[in-house]
Amino acid sequence: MTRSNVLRAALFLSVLGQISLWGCGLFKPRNPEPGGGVPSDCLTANTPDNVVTNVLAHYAAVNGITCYTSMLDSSFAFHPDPTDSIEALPGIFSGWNRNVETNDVSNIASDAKFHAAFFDSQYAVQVLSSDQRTLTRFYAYHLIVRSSKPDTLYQGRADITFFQSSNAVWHVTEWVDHRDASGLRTWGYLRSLYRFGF
Amino acid sequence: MKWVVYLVILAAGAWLVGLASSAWAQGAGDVGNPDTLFDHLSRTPITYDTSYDRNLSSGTWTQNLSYGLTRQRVAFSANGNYTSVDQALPGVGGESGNFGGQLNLRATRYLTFGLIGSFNHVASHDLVLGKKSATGQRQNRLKINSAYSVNPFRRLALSGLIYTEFQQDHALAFRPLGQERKSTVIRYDAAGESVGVDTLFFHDHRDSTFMSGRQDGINAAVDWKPRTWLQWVSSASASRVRQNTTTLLRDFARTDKNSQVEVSSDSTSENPNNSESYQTKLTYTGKRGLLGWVNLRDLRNDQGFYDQSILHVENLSVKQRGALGHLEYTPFLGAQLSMDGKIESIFSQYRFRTGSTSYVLSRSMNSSFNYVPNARLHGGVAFSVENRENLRQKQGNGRTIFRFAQANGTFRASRRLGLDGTGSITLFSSQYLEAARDQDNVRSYVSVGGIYQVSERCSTFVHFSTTRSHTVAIAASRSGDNYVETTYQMDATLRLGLTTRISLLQNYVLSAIYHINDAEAADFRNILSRIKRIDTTLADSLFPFATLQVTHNFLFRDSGSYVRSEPGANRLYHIGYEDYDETLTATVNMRPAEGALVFVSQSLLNSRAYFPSTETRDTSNKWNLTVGATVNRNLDGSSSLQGTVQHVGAYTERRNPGDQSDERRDWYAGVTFHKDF
Repeated sequence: MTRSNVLRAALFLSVLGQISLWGCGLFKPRNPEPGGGVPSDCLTANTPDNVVTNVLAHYAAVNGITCYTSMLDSSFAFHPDPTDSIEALPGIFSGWNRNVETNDVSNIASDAKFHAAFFDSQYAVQVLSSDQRTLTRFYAYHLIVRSSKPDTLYQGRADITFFQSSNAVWHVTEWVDHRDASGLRTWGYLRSLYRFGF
Repeated sequence: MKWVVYLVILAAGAWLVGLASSAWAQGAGDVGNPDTLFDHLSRTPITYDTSYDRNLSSGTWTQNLSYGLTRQRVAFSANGNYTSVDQALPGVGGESGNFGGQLNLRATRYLTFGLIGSFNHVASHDLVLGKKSATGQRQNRLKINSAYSVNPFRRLALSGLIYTEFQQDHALAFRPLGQERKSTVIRYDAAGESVGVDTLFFHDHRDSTFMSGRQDGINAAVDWKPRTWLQWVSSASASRVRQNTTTLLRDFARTDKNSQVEVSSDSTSENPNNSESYQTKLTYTGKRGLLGWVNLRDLRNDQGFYDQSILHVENLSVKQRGALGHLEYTPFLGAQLSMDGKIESIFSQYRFRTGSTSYVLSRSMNSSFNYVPNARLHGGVAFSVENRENLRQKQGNGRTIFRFAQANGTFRASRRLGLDGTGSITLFSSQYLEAARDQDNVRSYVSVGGIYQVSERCSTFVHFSTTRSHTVAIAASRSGDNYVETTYQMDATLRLGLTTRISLLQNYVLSAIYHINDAEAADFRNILSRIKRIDTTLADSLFPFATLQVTHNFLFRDSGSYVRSEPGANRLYHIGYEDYDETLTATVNMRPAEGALVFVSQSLLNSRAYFPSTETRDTSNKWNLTVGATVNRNLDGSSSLQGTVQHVGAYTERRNPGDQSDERRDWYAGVTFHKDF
């Protein structure tokens, strides 16, 4: 290396050092408020059943958001019922990924005064992939959320796909929502009410 | 109208150009005419493709026909395709087709006319408890446009386009409800007075929606380069859509005396949509790679639509404004500095659903510095920051901050040894009043490694990396679940050419993932997972017409609690389960003739799981045999045939003598024919 290259490498490392130095403050997370520390009853997601238990127990709960969102895979996608999609506000369901779901469930949790979710039955036989790492279950559900919105009871069907990542933990990768014959609003409709500003 | 004012400004700009016309003859470089439709004379022959694919669950037939012709004054293209899908279940399937065409005429050098049409159809049919359910949608569009583009001076291009599009959508659906839905309906007499109540049992539903409308629009653009180092590009567009939608709903029911009745309702709505957008970009090109530009944007959109939830025509008004800036510079040889900045605001206002109104203001800056003094050395740093605020919302007001820094470098120490490293750190801070959204996430990543070329046939590659992610909920009600997840991983690859025909490839992965909760009270939920993975591929080209490949995949995983036995003690790992998966696969490929390939692949998957707490073991063996052939041949100069057929057989050994046999035999087939006329 020539002397000028050495000087330039030194300049580059200096810039790198400056960024590291500045980075200490820029990338420090805030401290939690005092008085906390009580963990939620979040089960280890080493089986699909534990994921389901966590989803039902922690959906729309303020102290369960960390648990619920940790059940979602980074590739998570939510697909609404086609009729819900047509009737919804323009673009409301577009690009529904993990970030959108996290913000959405946080808004629901902030607004909900009471919540309870139930998977009533499996309306079709589950499908397990040949490598046994992808599982799709077909649930009939109902959901009670008391909030500022007029509806309280939501009902429909949810086709949920679970994937076991390389660290043996199961996550939800896909959630397909369907209306059923009851005429009640769906879980997807509830989600759509709380997507604004993101 | 603001866009009219804008056009006037454009015209004034053109007039100023006229005054400055004495300057354009001195510099080099022309501003091109944006219309390139007639630049390349060509003729695409009539092309027909058809393919059919069949597998266990469905059969799909696809056809495509296309044609294109471009002459000095006429350009014509047309394309049509049709796809039908039949599911294995009788009565279930769908079809879609579309036909599109475009005809453009160049009346003069600067004036063109265009006619663009598209006609789409989508349909599906299904069975609901044995009764036929069907949906269908048609979409027709016919657009007429006229474009005028001119270069009044060598460095100035002006273009304008006006268009009208006629639109029609028709959707029809017939759905059995599956199970009858009981409902009460009020009866009215001719005077509109209620005369009683009927109890009806609804069993079928039919809805039909017809939309017709027209969209008118205008686009204008100016591209002016007054100096070699300065360019100004502006554009404005406006459109207006008027759509009328008529919906007819029919519900079929029976009375409690089993007589059939029909309940229908119709509605008509107008859905106006106005849109205006303006954009200006000023570009400066200097010495030593200096390039800078500023881009200003303004978009306004008013959209009306029938909202089923409120049974009213809702109006959504979106105002979007933004400014973007870019700067890049080469301070010295091999170095490049780049900066981008953006400010944008989006105000989405609903007339009735005021709870969904939002105002989002975002500011972001990205910068990077790259240094490549020679082919052996490369280094770079990047820094990004974004601040996004949600305001004027009924709920969820607050801001998110995103910061990202990255550094990477590679160094080729010698002809054999190369080193590289990368590191990054990210902060995502959501600062909201509501506890549910008040949270910080920090993620850091460091990776170092290198490649060593032992010989021409042998090379190895090793990387060590660590990822750390910290999730911090701020509110006391949520902070009990705060955790740190740390992953340590080693990736390695070995490539070895044993002979000129035989090669060996091995990939190794070792990783450990620690999930540690911040709160001492949540220590019992700490988890450690470990993974070992070795993939080996041995490939041998036996003869010019045959190859053999043997693959072995080994995967070991274990996972368990990683907790303290008492406060202050070291954490100990208690294995909850162990899992071994091994797969051995042998594949032979043969080419008996030109364009033909026959292959056979057999594999065995052995899975073993062990749960120490209960001392239970689970073992399974799964055999798989795939036999198939593919064809890819040119039949003559203008047609070709591609096809594949495969038989996949799988068999899982019984774990206990009384278990049911688990055996699968599936066929897959597909063929594609292509013809040019």
